[in-house]
Amino acid sequence: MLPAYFALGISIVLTVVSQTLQKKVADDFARAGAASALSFYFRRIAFWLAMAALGGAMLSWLFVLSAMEVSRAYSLLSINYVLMLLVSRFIFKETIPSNRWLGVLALLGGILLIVRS
Amino acid sequence: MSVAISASQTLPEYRKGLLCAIASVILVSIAQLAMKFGMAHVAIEALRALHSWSELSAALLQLPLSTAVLPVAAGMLCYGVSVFCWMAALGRLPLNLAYPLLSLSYPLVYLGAALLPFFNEALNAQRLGGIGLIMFGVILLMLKTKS
Repeated sequence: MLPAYFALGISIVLTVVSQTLQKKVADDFARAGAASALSFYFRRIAFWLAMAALGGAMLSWLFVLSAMEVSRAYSLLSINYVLMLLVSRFIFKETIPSNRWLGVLALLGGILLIVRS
Repeated sequence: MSVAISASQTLPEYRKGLLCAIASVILVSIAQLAMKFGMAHVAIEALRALHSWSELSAALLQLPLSTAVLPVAAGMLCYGVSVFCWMAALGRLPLNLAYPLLSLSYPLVYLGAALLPFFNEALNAQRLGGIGLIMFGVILLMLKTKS
């Protein structure tokens, strides 16, 4: 059971890292006003790191699914929604209106209801 | 339903961002269903018993093309395209709005699995309640606020 939780932790961390890098590259592109998104992305190291992290997250997730109950795995994976709000707040300095926190709380409840049914 | 717009964003860009995010979620959901459909036709147990790359590649070549290989490949392609839709959304929306929208894939996948003939999964009251709660959460996310 322990390796499964370890792999789940890796999967969550890599997902957060990948999303953070994707947001960074997307913001850089929006600010640069370059013509072609693809050629802009492909020249960024951050983009390739984001894709590598995404691939790693998928591989470790496949391992998690083979080693842990699916409902438990998906329930724990939804920690991502809270972590990404923290990334928005503290890394991207976004102001998070209270309705967003409440919205995320509601959809976390919905995900729990679905995956545990 | 009105949506929140911060001072730095123009309305057309914001709408484009929402459309890109929704397109990305739909692509991810199609990918999930296609890969699930394809993998159901792969004898996982047979693959597990293989011990060498040559045996594995021989087994992979024998997989049924239309019911296993093409759906899984199409699913992977959808995933790939969804990444670029997603980044187009991220450049136009605050992360604290964009990321939670990914949860829309749960209702889409469950409705797809219930409505498409192959999957035939039952939609019980608890699942419908969960889908409703996610939709309620997404509406809350998009409500206009004074901040």
